[in-house]
Formats: sequence, structure tokens, C-alpha cells
Amino acid sequence: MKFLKRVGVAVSMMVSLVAQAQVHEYHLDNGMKVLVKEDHRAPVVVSQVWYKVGSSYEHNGVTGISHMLEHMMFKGTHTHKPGDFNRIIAENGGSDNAFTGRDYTAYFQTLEASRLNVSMALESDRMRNVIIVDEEFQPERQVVREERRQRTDDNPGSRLYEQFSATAFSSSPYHHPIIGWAEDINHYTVDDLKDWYRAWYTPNNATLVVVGDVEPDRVFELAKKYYGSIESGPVRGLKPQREFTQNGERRIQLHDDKAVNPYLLMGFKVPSLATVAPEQEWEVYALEVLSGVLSGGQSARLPKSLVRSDKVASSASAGYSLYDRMNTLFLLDASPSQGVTLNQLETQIWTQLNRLKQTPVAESELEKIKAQVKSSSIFEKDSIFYQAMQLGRLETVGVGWQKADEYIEKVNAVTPEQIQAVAQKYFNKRTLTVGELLPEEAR
Amino acid sequence: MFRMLIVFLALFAQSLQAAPQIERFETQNGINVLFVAAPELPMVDFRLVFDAGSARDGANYGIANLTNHMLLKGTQDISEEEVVERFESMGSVANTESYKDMAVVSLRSITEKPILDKSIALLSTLIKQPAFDEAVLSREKQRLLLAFKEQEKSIDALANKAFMKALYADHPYAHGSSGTAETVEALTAEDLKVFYKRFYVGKNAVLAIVGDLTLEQAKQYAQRLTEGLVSGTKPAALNKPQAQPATMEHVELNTTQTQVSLGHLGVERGHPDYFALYLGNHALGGSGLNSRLMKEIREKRGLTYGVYSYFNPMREAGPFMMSMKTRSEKAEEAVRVMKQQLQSFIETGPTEEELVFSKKNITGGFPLKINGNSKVIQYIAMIGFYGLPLDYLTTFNEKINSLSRDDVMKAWKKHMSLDKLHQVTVGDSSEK
Repeated sequence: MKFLKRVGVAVSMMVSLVAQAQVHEYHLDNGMKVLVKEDHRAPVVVSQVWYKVGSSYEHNGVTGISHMLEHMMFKGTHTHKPGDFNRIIAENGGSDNAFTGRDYTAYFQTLEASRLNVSMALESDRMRNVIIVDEEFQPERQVVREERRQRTDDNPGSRLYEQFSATAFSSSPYHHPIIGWAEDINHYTVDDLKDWYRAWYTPNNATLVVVGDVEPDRVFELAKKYYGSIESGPVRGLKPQREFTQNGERRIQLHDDKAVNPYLLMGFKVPSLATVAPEQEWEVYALEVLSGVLSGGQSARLPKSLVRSDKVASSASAGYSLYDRMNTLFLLDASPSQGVTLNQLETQIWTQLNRLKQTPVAESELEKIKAQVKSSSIFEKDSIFYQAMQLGRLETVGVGWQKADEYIEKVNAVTPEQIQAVAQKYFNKRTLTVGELLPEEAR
Repeated sequence: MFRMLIVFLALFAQSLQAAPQIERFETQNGINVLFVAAPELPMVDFRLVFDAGSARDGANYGIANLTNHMLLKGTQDISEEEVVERFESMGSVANTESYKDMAVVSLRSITEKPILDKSIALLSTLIKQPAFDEAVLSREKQRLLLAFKEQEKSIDALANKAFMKALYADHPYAHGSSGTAETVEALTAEDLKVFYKRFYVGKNAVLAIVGDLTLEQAKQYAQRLTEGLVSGTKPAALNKPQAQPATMEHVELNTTQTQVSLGHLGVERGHPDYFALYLGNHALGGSGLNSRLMKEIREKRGLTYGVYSYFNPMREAGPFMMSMKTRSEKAEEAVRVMKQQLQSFIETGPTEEELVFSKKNITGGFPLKINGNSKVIQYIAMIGFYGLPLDYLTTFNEKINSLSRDDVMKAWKKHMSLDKLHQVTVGDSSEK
């Protein structure tokens, strides 16, 4: 899927829920939350610690520092040398890694179930005891520079998305890229990193999520043993940094000699589950279903009309991040067929959007989405990692893991009229941002 | 934003009882079926694999891929639109995938009877009488041509193309499995039909099933899914690839990084030395941040986000490859260090400590390898397709544990050599 590959925003009807999870919630005295879900299909456990910090917590000048710190979290503590973490997990047959997003930083280990204590011992140690020194930091900064070159600098689609986001969001921190601007990466100091670590890495700013072949009360006992003695700390207050109201279309072009084919991105300002007013909550589920109507599969409207019927696009999709922490974008992206201009493609996309505004979607289209949601809710239980991800994410963006259980019901309740209503309300040129990638011969 | 590129490496094996119990049977038209019952979730996966990958292209590069891709695009009676409409209305997922050896048709469905029955019936009809509609074909060719254009400036596609060409010369593994603009443009619906008739036959297929079915149900669905396929005959074995003299190639591209690919021919699936090579590679470049390559090149020197090495055994000898990206002015240094690391590994093998570590990681991680239907089905499809023993998974740990440092060194000395190394770099050489 081009959209996912190029833009890296994982959104679709197919991957957005956990159905009727039996989740056990516990609290440690220091404010750390523990979520446990049993899955006894295989003798395996995944353990994840989620911190409420990510690129949307950052200010200008240190963009990407959450991600840089994530790298430094593997560089040793008072009791473990650099590299020990990966080595000990691997010796125990496990795998481990971490990821940073706009709204979270998370660390995970997957192990044979009886070795959960190994993961807890190491992960709890690095919550407060990481040592950040220049000799480890300097080469790791180079690693992150390479990561940025690989992901973004040499990838025209990614660069367009980065500049597009910086255009769509002005006062919101969704303005800057998760990995950070190159200039900012070059100028972090060890003190910047230590400051960021002390500010956000506390038990009262973290959620432990454990899914697998475990007994919940026993997990809680382990959590108390390993995490319970960590002192809670003051968490830095987060400024709201809400995006101001956009009142006019914004448009950028990226002329790029590394690009071959043109590419179009469009985004409309929309709320997320975390930001929508409670009485308007139906709106975000209507947007979710709407993204399914447009691109929830090969039979959805965008691939059907633009790619197969009118043949104006070689690919086209829509995406909506229901679970973003802040107001977000309803995204559309497309690559034109040979000989079709971006202008023509944009007109065709508007035809689809206007159709949604003018005519309620057919019941059969909704039925199809409900069938997909139903089967997906079963398919996704095939992965314990995915199940843990969902709980951690919902908890960390502030809506609470319980929302996962409401998903099917809320999606099923969406009506054609509601879809039409959100199309009319949000597909508005005044809040639109357009990004165009324009290939150019190398000079 | 993942910290390492390669996370879930090949980790294998402990607790023998945890290995899935594979049932094997044949359909009436002779298709070999491997089945693992997984009653925990009300869902089932089917993976039907034909020996019809791009190694069977002949001179028509890309015909295997396009034939495979067109399978789900309708029959004479069921339009392309109706196909996607029907599958998606049931919440079922049907897919095709095409590689050098394998052409795959897969289905994932819930086990609610009407839905599973209808999904199987539809897929069965599609693989029995695909339409190869001219208009659809023409559109899909146009989409492919755009993708080829994109590949002309893709650092990964360019490196891969040059590397495989260097390793395989005129062997059928040499060309990319989606073909070239020239060859794809020339393909007709008639060509595809001929290819389909020759290769999409029972004797040339293996079916893997994992899910909430009894053995009896699995037999019934296997029969229904494949009953339209004629028995046919197996195609002749591929030629053995011949080792080519070492080469060095640079492809110019205006990127900030340079891709470095180094390697030579490895071994085929089922080769007796595979386990020793695999175990050794774990220490060299197959264990993420714990590997020698990562420690030397990423951790010590900060030259890359990820560097790794692997063997990719196929029906015939697959590649051994070391791969990384680095800022272009450091490409020479990176190549030098990679070669040094390979050289010293061939000479002295893993240390005793590394060997113990690798064994612990590989065998202790066995449960992680097979937790989930989507992982299990990949394994059993591979076991069936390459004719590996049914106890492949259950004996994997034993085989790894039985290897000594000496065994690993012998295998590496026998198969690996810097003198045979092919080197491909893609990037901006003015940055040196």
C-alpha cells in the first residue's frame, strides 16, 4: 500500500480495534498503571512500557528529541553496560525494540512466558537509571542522522509529507516530524537529553501493558516487585498548543529531482476521539466509517472509481487517525496515471467528496464495512503484539483502553446521514491543505 | 519510528511440545496438503502455493507475476468488481503474492459456515477459470509500468537488480520477479493463459491450512478449493546456478546515502550445511544489535541505521548477502569494515561465547517463531513447498544445539570466500 509506505500513517478500518478484550487494570502506589490481557494460545508474552511523551510534546529547537532519547535508552544504566539490554533479552530467547510516535514513546520485549521477570527487571531499571554520556551519544546521533536520511531525505514522498504536515499545522506540535528536523538533530546536547529524560520518564507518566500466556494477578505481583519501588516524580505540565482555526486553503509544491512520478496529498482538519466533544462523539466514528467507504478495501470508492473505472490514478487512498491525541487530519493521497495531471486528479477526488456530501451512502456499503470490522476483530487477535499496542496507545493518548471495547458498537451505530453530515462539515476547502510532489530533471 | 530496521530476526526453537502438529494428506487430484489445527480463534487461513514464480518466466520476464496477479481479477461470469465486492462483503481477505520460486494464492476467513463456504467457493472458481480480461490486463500493465519508472530511481530496487544480476548472470533467478518495462509491455492475455495452463496444476501445488477446523473439515475445504485444477505435471527442475567470477559495480544515483550490497551464492533449502551457516550468520549479522556487523558499524562507528547479513535459501542456491546504507562519503569505509568482518569470520568463525549466545537466542526464541496462525502457515507452506521433513520445526532446536564451533567453521570455510564476493553500490559517487 503506497499510502502506508510513503506517508507512514497507519490507519484503516482493518487495523483499528480490539474487540471485547478482557483487560485487567491495576495501579501501583507510585501512579503507574498496569494493564494485563490473557492470551494462552502460545507460551509467549509481550511486555510494553508506554510513556506519555513523543514529538507532539516537543518545542522548536529540540524536535525529535523524544526519538533521540529512545535510542539512548539502550546505552546502559548504573548497573548495566551499553548493549547489555539487548544481549540479556536475546540470551533469554527474546526480542526487543522501541518506537516513538507523535503521542507516545514505547519499549517492548517479546519472550517465552516464564521469562517475563527478565524483561521487567531490565525495563524498570532504565526508567530512572539511564546514564547519558557524550561518548555514547555522539555515535548514536550519527545513527539517527542515518535513520533520517534513509527514511526521509532520500524519500521524496516522505519529504512531501513532512513539509505538508508543517504546512497544515501551524501552532500545533503536529507541525514537526517525529524524527525531528535535521538541524535540530545536529544540535541536541547531553543536557537536553538528560532534561527530557528526567521530565517524562516517571512511573506516574507510564503504562505497563502485558499480553500473553500469563496470570494477571501474578503479573501485578511482578510489577509491584520491579516497578513498585520507583518513586513517582513531578511530570512537566503540557501546554495545550491547540491549532488555531484555519480559514483558507493552503497549498505547497515540492519540486524534486529524486522523484519520478507525481504524487498528491490532501488533508482536512478534523477532531479525534481524544479531542471531540462528548456529545459529538458520533462524528469521529462517522469519519472512521467514511474512511472505510473511501478506501477500506479494493471494493471501496477510491480504488474502484479512480484506479479501476476512471483510470486516473495508479493508487488512491484515504486515512483517518481516530486515536490521535490532538486534532488531526483526514488524509487523502493518490498517484496519477501516466498523462494525468495532479490538477485533474484533485478534481476527481473532489468529485468523490462532493458525492459523499450530496448523497447518503448505500446501506450495502455500510453492511460491507460492518462485515469487515467483524472479521478484523477476530483476525487481529492472532497477534498478541497488536493487542498490546491497541491498549497502550488508547491509554497513552488519554481516551482510556476501555474505548477499544466500544469500537464495534460505535461503528455499527453510524448511519448514512451521519456520514453525509461529517462529509459536509469537514470536507471544507477552508481547512484544506494540499501537497504536490513534482518530479524534476536533475540539474 | 523503529529503532532498528531488522527486529524480528530468525529466532527459533525450545520446548518441543510447543511445535505445531502438522497433518499431511492429499486431495483427489494429488495436491499435497499440510494442515495445523488452531481451534483458539474462529478463523482459518489457506495458502495455496504453486511452483510458478519468476524462475518459470522463461524469456517473458514478469509473466509469472502478472499471471498470479490476474488470478483474482474475475472469470468469464464474475466481473473483477464483483469479486472484490463479494470477498469484502464477507469480511474475507483473498490475496496473491509472487516470488522467484513461489506463486501464492491466499485466503483468510472467519469460520462461520456460510461465510467460509462462500469464500472458498469463490476462490475455487477464480483459480479454476480466471478470465485474463484484456481491458483489466492492459490497465494493470500500465500500473506496473509506472512502478518500473519509480524503480529507476529507487535505491533499493536498483541495488537489488544489480546484485541479483551479478550473482545469477543468465540463470532464471537473475531478473526481477515483476519483469521489465519491455517484457511486460509485450505480454498478452494469450501468453498468460498458456502460462496458467502449464503451471497452475495440481501436481505443481502445495496447500497449507491453519485454523479452527477439524481434520475432516480441512480435507473437505481443501478438496473444494482445488477441485477445478487439473492434475497436470510437475515442471522440470531448474538449472543449478553457477558461481560467477567476483564483480564490482557502482550505480550512480543522487541520494544522500549509498546502499552497499555484498555477497555471493549461498545454499539451497534443505542443504545439509544450512543450519551451520545459519547459526554462524546469527553471530556475524543475523542478530540485530547483538551481531558483529551492528556492533562494529553502527554502535562503534555510527555509520548506519542498520546493517545485516542473511542467507536466503531457495529451491536452488539462494543468495548470501550483507547489506547497509550509509552517508555517501563513508561508503568506502563501510565496505572495508564489512569485508574485514566477513574475512575474519570465515577465518576464525564465531567465538565459543558467541556460539553459546546464538544457540540460546535461537532455541529459546522458538515459541516466538510460531505464536500466531499467520506465522505457522508461513512455515508449513515452506515445509510443503520445498519438501522439507514434517518434523522440521520439532527437530530444529536439536539440530542447532548439536552443532559445534568446528562444524560452523567448516561450513563457512567450505561455502564462503571473499574471492567470490560481488559488490554493488548505489549512490552519489561524487561524495567520496
